[in-house]
Amino acid sequence: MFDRIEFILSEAATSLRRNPLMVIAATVTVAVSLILIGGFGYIYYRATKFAETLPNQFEMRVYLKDSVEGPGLAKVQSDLTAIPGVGKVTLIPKDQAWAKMRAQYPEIPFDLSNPLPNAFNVRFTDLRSADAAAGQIKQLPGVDKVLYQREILKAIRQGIGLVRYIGYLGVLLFAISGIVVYNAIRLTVYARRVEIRIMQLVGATNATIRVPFMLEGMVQGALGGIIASLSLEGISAAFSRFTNGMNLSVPTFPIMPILGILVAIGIVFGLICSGWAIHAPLKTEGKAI
Amino acid sequence: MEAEQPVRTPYIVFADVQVRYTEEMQGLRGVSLSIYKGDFVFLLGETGAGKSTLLKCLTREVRYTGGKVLLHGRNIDTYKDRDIPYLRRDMGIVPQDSSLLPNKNVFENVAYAMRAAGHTKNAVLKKVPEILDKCQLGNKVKCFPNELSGGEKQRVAIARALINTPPLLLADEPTANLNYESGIEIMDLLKSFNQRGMTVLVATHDMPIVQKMGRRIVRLKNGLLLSDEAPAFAVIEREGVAADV
Repeated sequence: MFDRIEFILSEAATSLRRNPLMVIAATVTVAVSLILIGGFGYIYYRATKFAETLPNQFEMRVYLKDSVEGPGLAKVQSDLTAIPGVGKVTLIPKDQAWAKMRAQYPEIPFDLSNPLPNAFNVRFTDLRSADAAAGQIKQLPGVDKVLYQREILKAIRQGIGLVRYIGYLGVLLFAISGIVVYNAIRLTVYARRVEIRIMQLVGATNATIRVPFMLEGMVQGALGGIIASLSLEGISAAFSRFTNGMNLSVPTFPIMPILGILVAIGIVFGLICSGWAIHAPLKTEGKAI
Repeated sequence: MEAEQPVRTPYIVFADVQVRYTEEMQGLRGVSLSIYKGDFVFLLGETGAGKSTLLKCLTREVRYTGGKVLLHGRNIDTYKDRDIPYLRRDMGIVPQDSSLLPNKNVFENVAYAMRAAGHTKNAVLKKVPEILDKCQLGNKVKCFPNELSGGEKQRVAIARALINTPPLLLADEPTANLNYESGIEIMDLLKSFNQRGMTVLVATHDMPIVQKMGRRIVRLKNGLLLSDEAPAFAVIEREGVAADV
């Protein structure tokens, strides 16, 4: 049993040692693919996380007519909540707002009566519907004015759109890296077809042929993962240096989790690709009809 | 009163074997042939005659589409895919162009066949040098295939085929690209193993070498059997080997 394991492991190790060019080609292919997928995956993740916070940074203030009091407030609140895209609706009673303003501006004369109306603070689950919602809100009975910053809304929308484009680009790069890997596999199969046939002719079982190939693939995948992680860390560090002078907060690159994830993906990638590469040549017989 | 001769059962039987690759292309068109244990048979014919296909039917590299091939009485077609490696371990195969593992040296090329068949490292260390000496490769142990001459490559392929002492050796054009002298050396090597009881089938189109060897000649053309000649002295020799075995 141990003799068998030693044979399989030594086959994989010998092959890795004696095919340096093929190992470099396969490792670089995996590394490039992982940099593309992993890098954009990370950027997409950060951008999505950022985009998730954007709707909460946007608020719409809905001022009511003075006549709306008591049950009328609850009616407006339920009307607001029913509008598509609207999330949280919070009542800001005029007394509370006036007290807050007084606290903020102590110079306001004491005898001045409260000029503020009751209002609602509206947040959105979907910012795309904010403009349409504003139109609907204005039409509601009891609503006097709707205030929001159109420019902020536009900037936020552009940010979310950018995240979507990053996603599309990621899908495109994923497809490109798939083509790169597929071509690398075809080259591997072509280069090793004769080798596999000889192994079959001397009576090696499919497992005896397959396992060392897959071990090789796993090692190449892991190496690709390590290279990709280090490259991404380098890119992230360069980006941080670039943005140092700007007022941007770039999060620290989490090298250890990324290393773990990319090495794991690389191993699985290598395993699948080598298994795929060896599948066709392992057929035991030629084609006759 | 004359003693009754025992009826000998053929070791290999090709019975009306047909191989059709496509509607238009046929490898074999109904070849029938019996080969006995200890035979040395040349399959002679031009390129495309069906020699390699006939050998590949035995190794199950090609699946025949008609007729049957029996090895030791068992129809080759009845082997399941997973059992093919075990079928092949009972035969030594010397493929066309010798085909060695490019990244293994001479010792490792031969050792691989033993290790693949499940032999231990110790058995390999004992047996591989022996077979390499027999094949006059003792001084080439650490050479890689690209450092060997054509004849040396063929001898490595033969050593690899013989390492598990199979009862049957199949050689496809083992003298291709070799000069006459090197070709004769290879054939002498095969003959020496045949004389120890191994059945040998050689596909070739090298007529001068075949004539020199004076063994049974099966001629093929366009997938058909043209003739089956067994020179008298070869038959006598075979009977002698059969008696020894």
